[in-house]
Amino acid sequence: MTKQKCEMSISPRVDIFENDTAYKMFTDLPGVSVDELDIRYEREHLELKAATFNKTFYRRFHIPNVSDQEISAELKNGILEIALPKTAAVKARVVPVTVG
Amino acid sequence: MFRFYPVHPQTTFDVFKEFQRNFEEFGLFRPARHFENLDLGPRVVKTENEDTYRITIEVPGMTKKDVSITVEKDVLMIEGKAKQNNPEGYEVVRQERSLLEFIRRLALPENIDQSSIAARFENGLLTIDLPKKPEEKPRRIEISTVTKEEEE
Repeated sequence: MTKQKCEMSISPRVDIFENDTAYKMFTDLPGVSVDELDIRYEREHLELKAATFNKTFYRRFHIPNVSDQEISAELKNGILEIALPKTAAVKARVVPVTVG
Repeated sequence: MFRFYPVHPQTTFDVFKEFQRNFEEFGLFRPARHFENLDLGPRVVKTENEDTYRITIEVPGMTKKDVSITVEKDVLMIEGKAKQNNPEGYEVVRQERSLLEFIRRLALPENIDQSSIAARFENGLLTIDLPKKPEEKPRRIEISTVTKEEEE
């Protein structure tokens, strides 16, 4: 097959979800295999890079207060799922109110 | 001048229909036959080499069981349907991904061998190979050596 050279990067589509303890992010990366992926979390920014033989994906997000040591990622059927647990500080606390 | 429709909870799909209806109302845009799939449809890439036409469709999240491929006469129809994968116990922060359902109809070239169409899935890419009939492959024609007289 003809190899196409494409320098322009594609901004992949994402879904981001959140609850009290974590973020979950789903990214469409059709045609990307695990060894073509580069995920980094640095200075409150999550950076996604993927380069296949004919495509380059790139996207960067500002996601603060993430426990960076606990970030995990899984690539399945062209979708990248990233779990980003929040740091203890931002986890919502329920404040009990007593009747005085 | 603008006509408003009553607002009610809608899915993304309905919103597109609404747009379409508005366009039709004003006569600004004659919808294409498969307009509904235009914005929601997956990216399709067609390539070709000497032996094969190749169709590559981006269907992230879909697997073999979500897609059906049928050939009828000279039309290749690819249908896909996937489940929403919103995780439980989470709220939506941002939602851009939309591929849940699609239908693509592609006219097949005449010179392909329909019985040997093959498809496979890899990393959310569906690849369909349509082998060309042998007689359609370009033949190399030998050039015979020219004799002295003809050269002049």
